[in-house]
Amino acid sequence: MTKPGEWLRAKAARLCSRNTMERLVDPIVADLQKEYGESVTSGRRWRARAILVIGYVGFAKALLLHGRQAMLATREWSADDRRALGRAFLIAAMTAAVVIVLLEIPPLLKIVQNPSRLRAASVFYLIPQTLPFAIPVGIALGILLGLRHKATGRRVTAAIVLVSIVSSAASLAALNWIIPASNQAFRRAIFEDRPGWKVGRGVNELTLAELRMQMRGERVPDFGFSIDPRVAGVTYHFRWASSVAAVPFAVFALSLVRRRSLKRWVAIICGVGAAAGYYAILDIGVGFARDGTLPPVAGAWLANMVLLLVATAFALGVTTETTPDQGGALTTS
Amino acid sequence: MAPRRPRMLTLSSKEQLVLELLVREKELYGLQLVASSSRRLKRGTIYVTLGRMEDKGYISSRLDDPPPEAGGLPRRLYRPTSLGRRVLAAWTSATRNVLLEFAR
Repeated sequence: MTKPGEWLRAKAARLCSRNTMERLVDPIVADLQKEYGESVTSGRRWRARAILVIGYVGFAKALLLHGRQAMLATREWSADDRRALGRAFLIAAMTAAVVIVLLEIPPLLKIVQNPSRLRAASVFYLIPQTLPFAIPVGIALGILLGLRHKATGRRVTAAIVLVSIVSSAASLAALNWIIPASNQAFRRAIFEDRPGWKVGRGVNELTLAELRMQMRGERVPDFGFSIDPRVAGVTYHFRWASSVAAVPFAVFALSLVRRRSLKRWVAIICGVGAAAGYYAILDIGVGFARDGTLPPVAGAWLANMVLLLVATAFALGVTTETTPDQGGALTTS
Repeated sequence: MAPRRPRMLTLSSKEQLVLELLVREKELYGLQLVASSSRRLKRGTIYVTLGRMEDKGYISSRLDDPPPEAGGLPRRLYRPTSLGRRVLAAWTSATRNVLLEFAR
């Protein structure tokens, strides 16, 4: 019979360095086996089960803490890794800023053309809308340009994936709370200066919870009308799908730079091409979902799936001109 | 490669507690440290703390004898190093002096 913790240990061995296994994983599993064995021998079956649960929770917590610690211990990173990551994040931030400015130009032009109706300050309400687009594109170009000459090790890869997950969480928060509120503020700033006008919320000004209510056909308080549950469903899944877009973009870019060196123009074309392709497919998918050709969830997630498939194809078809992997996200060395 | 800057010796409250327990008991397993800390150390964080302290050179560890039953993993025992003892002594003394200074 397998000892408790053996399965987890085998899985951890695929992720962790030998040092981490010896100093973190093995002591936890050894103590778990010892404690469990003593309880079983003394006939305390329920205590043994409780020990297993507590032990597994402790195991997961220890690995998470250790991963975070290894990631934050930038002092232990090689100067090359730090430089490459710094460059990637700087390019990502600059790209995101440029994308935000580009997306703000059309409403700014409208303000210039019609200054009496549109107040300049109201354009700032539209900045949150641009984030779910600007962040993934920024991350993709940051990786492609910042790491194009560097064979990325597990540590750098893990740091980038972590940053893209955090960015996705930020995008989700923006899409769920900030954008509906800022959209509504923008609409009010534009239209409520007319006497007798009261601007209600539209579908884009609903939160995820309110969209779910509309999908179920329930009435949303402070929302005057019912929208088609299909449209509500498409909007709901679209928000989830576009908020996690940073992850497939990061995976795609990593699959390109991981083991090969890219010329700058190739990196830019790949990044811009991926963004154009992604948003074209997203648009098509959402269109198909709205007219009922695809289920809402499939239409909204189509672009993410395609980008991940392309990334997988690149990763599998990659040439083997590699440099050795450098360190691991979960190493203690 | 650029030369490494010397690391400043620091001691967190958890590390201090681990060192105090190890200095008192000489050698302990991770779970024994949790048990003797009156819940101040948690089993989810103790091994990460111990790994960090080993990196800092405050403690060392060795594998215990393999368990009698087949297939079990040997447990790891931790003990304070000479550096760990000196850091603990210096830290305790510095803390006491600061407290006395404040109490004046």
